[in-house]
Amino acid sequence: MSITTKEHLSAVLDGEAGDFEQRRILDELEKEGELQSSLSCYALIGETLRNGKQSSIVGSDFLKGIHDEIHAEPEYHHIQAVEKKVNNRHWERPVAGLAVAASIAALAVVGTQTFLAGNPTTSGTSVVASETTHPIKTLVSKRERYNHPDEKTRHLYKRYVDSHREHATRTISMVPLVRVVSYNTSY
Amino acid sequence: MKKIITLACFACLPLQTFADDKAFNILNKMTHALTSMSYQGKLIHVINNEPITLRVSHTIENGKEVEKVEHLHKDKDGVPYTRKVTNYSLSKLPKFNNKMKAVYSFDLGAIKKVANRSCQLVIARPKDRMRYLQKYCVDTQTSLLLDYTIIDKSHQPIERFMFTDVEIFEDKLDISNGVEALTPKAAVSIAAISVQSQVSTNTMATWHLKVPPKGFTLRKAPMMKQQRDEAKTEHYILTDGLSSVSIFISKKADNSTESGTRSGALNVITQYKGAFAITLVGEVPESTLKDIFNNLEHNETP
Repeated sequence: MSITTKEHLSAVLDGEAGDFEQRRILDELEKEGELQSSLSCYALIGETLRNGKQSSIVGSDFLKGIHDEIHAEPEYHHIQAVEKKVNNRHWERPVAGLAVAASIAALAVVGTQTFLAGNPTTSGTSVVASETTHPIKTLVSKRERYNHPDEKTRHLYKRYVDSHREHATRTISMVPLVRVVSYNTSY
Repeated sequence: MKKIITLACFACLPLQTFADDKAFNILNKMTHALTSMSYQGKLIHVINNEPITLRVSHTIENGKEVEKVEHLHKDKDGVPYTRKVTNYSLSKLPKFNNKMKAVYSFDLGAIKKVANRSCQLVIARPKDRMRYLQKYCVDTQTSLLLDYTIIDKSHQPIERFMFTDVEIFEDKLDISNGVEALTPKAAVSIAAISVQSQVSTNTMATWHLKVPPKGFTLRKAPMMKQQRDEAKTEHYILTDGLSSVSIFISKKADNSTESGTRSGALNVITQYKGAFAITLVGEVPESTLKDIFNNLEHNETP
């Protein structure tokens, strides 16, 4: 999955994507399992943030259901037929028709999420990633690997971070203490 | 056809500038709102994919800001309890200045709903890969920041907070006594800055950057207070206004090793240069820290 695709996915979820981007993401979602997992994960995190306490469990079955619905849409088949005709000349596609399909899918995602979150049977469910929901991959493997700091170094790091925060106060100060002391991810 | 496209592009330029300025103005209103308004609410801060629930209260009392932040926990039996958090502040955001436009572009995004309020998405998009992208969702009515995300170079959200409920008090002028009440605080801030500048100019820097990263300026911070068994440490700060990096330089200790760690947007690495251990701490990508390290040079180096 390319970086651009992930960016577009994030943009679609944030409501920043235009019709064209939404259509592209729909195409990609159909093909890429990894992107489907990412969408599940983003949606779960977003829902957790919005609900504050709880979230429904969303897995790839949820996405599969959306895709089945999209496939069942007559307009979708029409769009696919048109796409085959125009081959790769994306800019000439009937944008209006695709936008309708994209909007239906977006509404399905948002609507179903809202429905699940508001459903009394799902409220109170603790935030647990389902077996089919994969965590967002980190880029640790691509980074240079460093030794895990020993206890003495961790203590020193804490002092450095405190000093950084004290003297760099004109920069972002939304960094909580919990972040500063939780060195739980080493290179 | 090409001429038409070119003309259309030129026609769009003023619109882009207008959007840029509008986004910039919203961010400045936001920093003012965060310091001058009274509000309270619950927010979720997601870091390392773990959500932390915080309760924030910000009021203006006798012209001074009073900010209380509590971390909401549950014990093993599920009984809720709170713990005071001292180093978390929403009201110490930087003032956005025109210099930042050299390294960030400020774009308007969509209108979103956060905590049942409408907010305008504003994106501080870095023009290079030296810093993180930052998204702010600013309340359309009060300019309060409701949602904030830091996104890394691979477009992954690495840190985020979002209000889940927020109460904004309408009587902020009564509480703060209006502009007059805020004046002493502003005076204190200016005094603090001027003292800081004095420290910077009066302390001789023994290190410099061969090629400073674009948009960043370097200054020397006061020496760190030494603790027992601790080497004398010099502290430098590099900042582009939004993101900052601290450089700590001390003599290399025996049996020490190069190391690194990170948490959310914060990266920390320690590497050696000759007899010195150099630790870089900052809310920038690890590659930026490496770049700064490589450009760091002792003044005595020929």
